[in-house]
Parts: sequence; structure tokens; C-alpha cells
Amino acid sequence: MDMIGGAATAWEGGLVGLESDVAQLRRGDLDALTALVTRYQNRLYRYLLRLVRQPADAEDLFQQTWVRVAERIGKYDPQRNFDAWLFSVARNLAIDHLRRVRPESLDEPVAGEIEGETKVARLASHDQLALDGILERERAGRIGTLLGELPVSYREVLTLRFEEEMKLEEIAEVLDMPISTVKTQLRRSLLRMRQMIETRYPNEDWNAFA
Amino acid sequence: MSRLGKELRIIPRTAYVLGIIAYLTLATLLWRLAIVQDPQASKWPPAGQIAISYGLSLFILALFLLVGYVNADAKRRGMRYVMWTFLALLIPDGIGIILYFILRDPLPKPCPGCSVLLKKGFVFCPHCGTPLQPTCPQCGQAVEIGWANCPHCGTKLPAHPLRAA
Amino acid sequence: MKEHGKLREQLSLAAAGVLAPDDEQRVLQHAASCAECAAELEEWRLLAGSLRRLPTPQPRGEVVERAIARAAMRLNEEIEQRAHRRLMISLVAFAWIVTLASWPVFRWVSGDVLVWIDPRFNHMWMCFAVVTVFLWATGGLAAVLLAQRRQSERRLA
Repeated sequence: MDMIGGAATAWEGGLVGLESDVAQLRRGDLDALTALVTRYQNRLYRYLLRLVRQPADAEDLFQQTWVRVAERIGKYDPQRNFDAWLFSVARNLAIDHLRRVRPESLDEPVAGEIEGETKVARLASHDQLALDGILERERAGRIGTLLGELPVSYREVLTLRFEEEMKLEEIAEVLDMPISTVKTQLRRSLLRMRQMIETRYPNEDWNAFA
Repeated sequence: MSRLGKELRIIPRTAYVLGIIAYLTLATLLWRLAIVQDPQASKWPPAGQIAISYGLSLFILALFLLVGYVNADAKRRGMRYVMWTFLALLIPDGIGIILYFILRDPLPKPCPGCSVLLKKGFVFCPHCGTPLQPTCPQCGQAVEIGWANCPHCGTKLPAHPLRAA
Repeated sequence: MKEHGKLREQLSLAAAGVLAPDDEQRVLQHAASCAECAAELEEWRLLAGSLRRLPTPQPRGEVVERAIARAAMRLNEEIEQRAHRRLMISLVAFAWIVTLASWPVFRWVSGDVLVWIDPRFNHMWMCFAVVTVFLWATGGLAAVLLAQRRQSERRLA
């Protein structure tokens, strides 16, 4: 019980820290800026990478997002959810980028063209632990590859729900869609993902993807 | 508000001196000569007369201090400070002062390489040659990070190597 | 049986954890009795699990540093702009007050000091008021136009 209480206070403390960082950022505090960028660096980069799929572009957009945050923090309403706001800023920049550079990628699922994914060599090792680790990475690699082949709108909703673990309301805010549409998108994207798995790896046990 | 305090410190002492002289002159003039002889105002209670004279005259002190600030600020920005001081002083009702603040040059910043104060708009430091801004690989003119094409010669700018240090 | 069809659609959403509590309850209850749905629910859960466990790609350190540097520059610019706006508003307000205050002052001074020079100076303050209004109109207009030109120059620079 103590652990839960402690975790709750730590989380609350995290929230309060976030609020104060955002308030300080509005006043031009550079330490608050550093704290915020550091706090969100992995999550933001991951989201951008899922959207644009090229690490170089994701890096570029990562920087642009934070410049825009600095630009618009004066107009940000502190009552609003900061996560959702930050991700929607990033999203708008990413969509603009995709429209300019690769307009076709916005609609069609595109195969391949994913950099930065490591290929795992098949080892004829009898070490079960090592094998499990390799299999795990390979499974993750497969899921990651499949994710990259989905259309952008499906990728988005899946990454926000499962990687960012955002609630429905937050996802709806980021994507600027009603909640019912988000639900539909989520259902369709999961269905598509599953169809791809069944087509590509028809004989695999579902447990292989656990 | 300490930033405001720092800025106010550049007002030259002369401005304070002249300002206080002008203030006292005008206030006394108003009180002893003008109001006393005015058909309406002379009927006011003396406390009111003093308050009006010395209160209104504060504006002239503020004006002198502002002109002093314009003088010092224009000098440190490398502008024609004599001209601007006159403009601020002679164009009435503070309009000259407003004009100055709209039109003033940006503050010079130190060069990251040799720390000499440089005017804004320079692309390379004239003393040590450090690049101060990213430049177009084709025509050498200054460009900004994040631009896709050079606004002077039109070449497509490489997206990644063109980052400022 | 229709219920089965409708609930089957919700299985993936249940595995994703986005259903409202009572909707989720309904789905779980149905899955407790229907083997087909229970199996499918389990498959969705496995998929959701593997999505959750995707490795997180991380940005390079220099990317983060440069992001901070660029954002810091922009932040300073924004703060400057805000301070500049506040300054201009205060100056304009000040100038207005000076204008209004100068009228009675000029009236008194002209009425009593300058009158020694020439009695006609007594009504001078009205002309003075008119002149200052005129000055404000033209000077203000000039200031606004110059400021606009400055702004567009700065944006192109």
C-alpha cells in the first residue's frame, strides 16, 4: 500500500513539476526549457519517427517542434493538457513535411524504406536465453516493420495508444478528431495489423508475437 | 523588473541634472507666476496649486530622462546619436521618442570566436572570420536554418549539413 | 446471436483498453461464456502486448542539444518582442498624457508670462492645442507606417 501511495505522490510530483516547468517556460526560463526537452525527448522522437519513418527527418522535425513550442508557449492555455498540445504541434509539422516531401505516403501503405531497423542474424545457438532474446528482438523487429507499412493514420493511432499509452480523450485531442472516430480508427488499424500478420506469417503461433 | 532597472542605469547624469533644473523651473514658473495670475486657477486652494504645478511638471523631468536614455542607447547601438537626441528632444509630445524606439538598431552581440562586439547582420566576424550565420553554398549569402531554398540565388539548400554550430 | 456479432467487433478495443467500464464489463462477461470470443480476445491481447513492448528509438545527443539551442534562441526572441510591445504601449500612453497635460500648462504660461510680450498670446493655447492634434495625427501616422516597414524588413532579413 505504501508503494502505491509513494508512486502516486511521485506521479503527482511529476505533474506538479511539469506544470511549474511550463509556467517557467512561459516566462522565458531556459532551465525549464532544458528540463522539458529532456523529459519528452524519447517520446517525442519516437512519435515523429513513427510518422515520418526516416530518422534524419525525425531529427529535423524534433528540433522544429521545440522551436515552435518556444514560439507558441505564450499562447498556450495552461488548463490544456500539455502532452496533447506538444504532440499535436509535432504532428502538424510532420504532416506538413510529409505533404511537401512525400505526398503519396500520406495515403498508401508503403513497403520498405525504413532505416535504422536492425536485422537480427539467425544463430544456430542452443542457448535458450540468447535465443529468446534474439527471438524477442526479431518479433519486435517484425512488428515494427509491419507498423511501418501501415498507412500514416493507422500508425499514428496505434503508436499513441500503445507506445505513448495515451487515453482516448488525449488521442482525440492530438489528432483533432471526435472520440468515436478515434475508436473506429483504432479498431481498423488493429484489424489491418492482424490481417498483415496472418498473411505474412500464416503458420506462426500467436504466442510468437507476445 | 530588474531588467528595467538595468536599462535605466544608462541614462547619463547630465540628463538628470538638466531634467531637475527644467522641472524646478517650470514648476516654480507655473506656481508663482502663471497660476497666480490666471483668473480661474488663482482661486484654487494653495495646496492644489502647488500639487498641479509640481505634479504636471514631473512630465518634463520624465521627458528629459527619456531623451537622455535615447542619447545613451543610440550611442551603444552605433546609431547617429546626436541626430536622434535632437529628434527626441525637439519633436513635441514624445513622438520623437516613440519614433526612436520603433526604428532603433538591434544591440550588438559578441562574436562567439573572439568576443568582440559586432553589429547584427554580419555573416562573418571581421576580426577572426568565425561564421556567425549559416550561408548558402552557392552564393555565400546568409540564410536561416530550416530554409529549403536560398532567397538570393534560388539554389536548393541541403537540409542537414546547414546547421548552425 | 446478434449480440455476439456486435460484441465481437469490440474485442480488439477491449484488448486496447479503451472501452468504457460498463462496455468492457459486457464484453468480458460474454467472453467468459463464448469460447470463440475468448480465444480471439486473447489474440488481440497478445498483439496489444507486443505493440506495447516495441523498443523505443532514442534521438542522438547532439540532436537534442541543438533542439535546446535553437528553441532557446527563439524563446529569447519571443520574450524580447513581448517586452518591446509593452514598452511601446507605455510610451504611447505617456505621450498622450504629456499632450493633454501640455494644454493647460501652455495656457497658463502663455496667459501670464508670454502676455507680457504680446497680449494676443492669451488665446495662443487654442492654436497650440490644434497644432498638437495635427502633429499627433501626422506623426502618429508616420510612426505606424515606419513601424510596418521595419517589421517587414526584419522578417525578410
